[in-house]
Amino acid sequence: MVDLTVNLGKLRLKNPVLTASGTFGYAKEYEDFVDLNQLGGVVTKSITKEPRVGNPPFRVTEVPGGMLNSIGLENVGVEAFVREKLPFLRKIRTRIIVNVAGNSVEDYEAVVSRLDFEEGIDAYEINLSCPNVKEGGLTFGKNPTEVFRMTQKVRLHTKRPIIVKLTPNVTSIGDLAQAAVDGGADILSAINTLVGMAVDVKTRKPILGRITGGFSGPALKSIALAKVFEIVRRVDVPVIGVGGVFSAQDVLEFLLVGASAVQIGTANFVDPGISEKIVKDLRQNCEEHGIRNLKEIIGQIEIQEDAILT
Amino acid sequence: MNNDPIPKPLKPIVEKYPVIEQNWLNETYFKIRILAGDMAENAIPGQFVNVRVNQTHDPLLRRPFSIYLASAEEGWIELLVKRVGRGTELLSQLKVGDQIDVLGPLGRGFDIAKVETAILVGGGIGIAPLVFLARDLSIFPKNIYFFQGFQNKTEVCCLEDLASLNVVPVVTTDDGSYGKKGLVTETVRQFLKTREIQQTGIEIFACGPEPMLKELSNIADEYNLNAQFSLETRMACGIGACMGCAIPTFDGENYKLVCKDGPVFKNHEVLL
Repeated sequence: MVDLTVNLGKLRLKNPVLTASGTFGYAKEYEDFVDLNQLGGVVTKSITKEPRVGNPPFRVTEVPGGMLNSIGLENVGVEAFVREKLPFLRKIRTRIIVNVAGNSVEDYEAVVSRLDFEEGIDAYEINLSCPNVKEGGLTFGKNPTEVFRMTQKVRLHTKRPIIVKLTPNVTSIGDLAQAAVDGGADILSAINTLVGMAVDVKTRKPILGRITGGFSGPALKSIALAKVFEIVRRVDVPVIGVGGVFSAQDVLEFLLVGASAVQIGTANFVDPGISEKIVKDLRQNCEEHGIRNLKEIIGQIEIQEDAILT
Repeated sequence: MNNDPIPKPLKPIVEKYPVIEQNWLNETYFKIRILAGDMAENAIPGQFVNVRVNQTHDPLLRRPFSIYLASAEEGWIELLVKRVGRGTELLSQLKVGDQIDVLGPLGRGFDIAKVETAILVGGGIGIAPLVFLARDLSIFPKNIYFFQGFQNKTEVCCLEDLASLNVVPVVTTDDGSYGKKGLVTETVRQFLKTREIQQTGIEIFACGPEPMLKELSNIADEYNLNAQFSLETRMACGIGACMGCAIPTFDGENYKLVCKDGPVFKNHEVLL
């Protein structure tokens, strides 16, 4: 019997497979395809203080190696989330992580302090990396000083674990990681999408309504692996690997470079049942590779120290 | 705006099914018939399936297609597909016996509860969801007129599937090489102008290019008719999770999702 449990600090998961924010709705959308109880955890769509209608179309388009999205944080807002979505989430026997976004520090504080009254939330993922809204996320998320300040402010409102989700659209993701940890983050998740663009030659227009979007998909994996590797060598908190996870093999790759868990994103769109399948396959892959306890392989990639470029 | 509730579709499933027939109808259109018993039983005209054309990551996303026909008795669904890009090219290469990964049936189909006289209008590949609708409508004693607009004679197809139905087909082509010459919407307008038709229970059901739908929306307003439009857009998940397939509501202040709130919308529900 393989032990798939992993620990993100004090947040214990039955397995390292989480769903990525924005790709799994509020979980109910997937109940026909996945036994949600089998997952290590669910990360919700970003929740903001007020409802958001989202961006004009087109919001998605396929590109080589993945897709672009520019949804614009469409969500029901924190009050409707508590009223309409949270009761369903509470019934799932897995970890519930609520992703939080906003236009200002005050927005993030308001959402977290509101949600902290509610039972059934295991952690918050602070989205400081959405590339698709003018004011929010990324404006703070690219600047280590802001990441530090935001994390510190949000920290005041909760004792629950805080995960800060980092953007790869910077020169040094290590500096962002350090800033988040200094500000009080318990866990980091990396990476959010890369900013990308697609062009229609016939109309001479960008395909996406908001011109640019976030790139995700299989081609993101190698970038995400490198970023996770960079982060775990810089800070000492657990890291959740996100980007191009489509198989149990991908999960093992992220764990080897040092992630303690992963999130499945775009793969959910390709195969709505994939998250549960990956949990099953992971158990089997561990047996094949002689892994009895998944925790043992975290960060166990074999490298020669002098091979590392700094 | 008509806000009557439309029957809620049954649960979708995702499954690999064998292809049992594949036929080219002309240079770009083909039909693909899939043995998919459980899906065939649940499907409602206007619903769609989201198809993974192969098991690799290239192409990555599923491709949405209207259900062209479904047979609950024989347990199959059929798609009418126009080859437009890589996804449809790969789909066209599937052969009888090959497995195909299908997610469906998805979305909100046509509401036929109140219709007495149905005016179906399909532009090009837009006829796809309307043949299934015509078949279900023709089970009841209703008047069904099916206007089909194509570019030219070589594009004209699928009339044989209407032959056994209680449907009056009217074909137009842009160049006049088959049927009436001109835009299909002009023929619909003339039909409404010249015919003495009962003014109750007439409803337009349409699918096709955006300008065609806009014109039909105007026509429906002029004649005070109900109308339902099947829309398409760029889509990812197909199940309402990614929120990628948004289109603006009629007032422009909000969005609806084509995959979940549609693909069939009533006139003035969304901005065409």
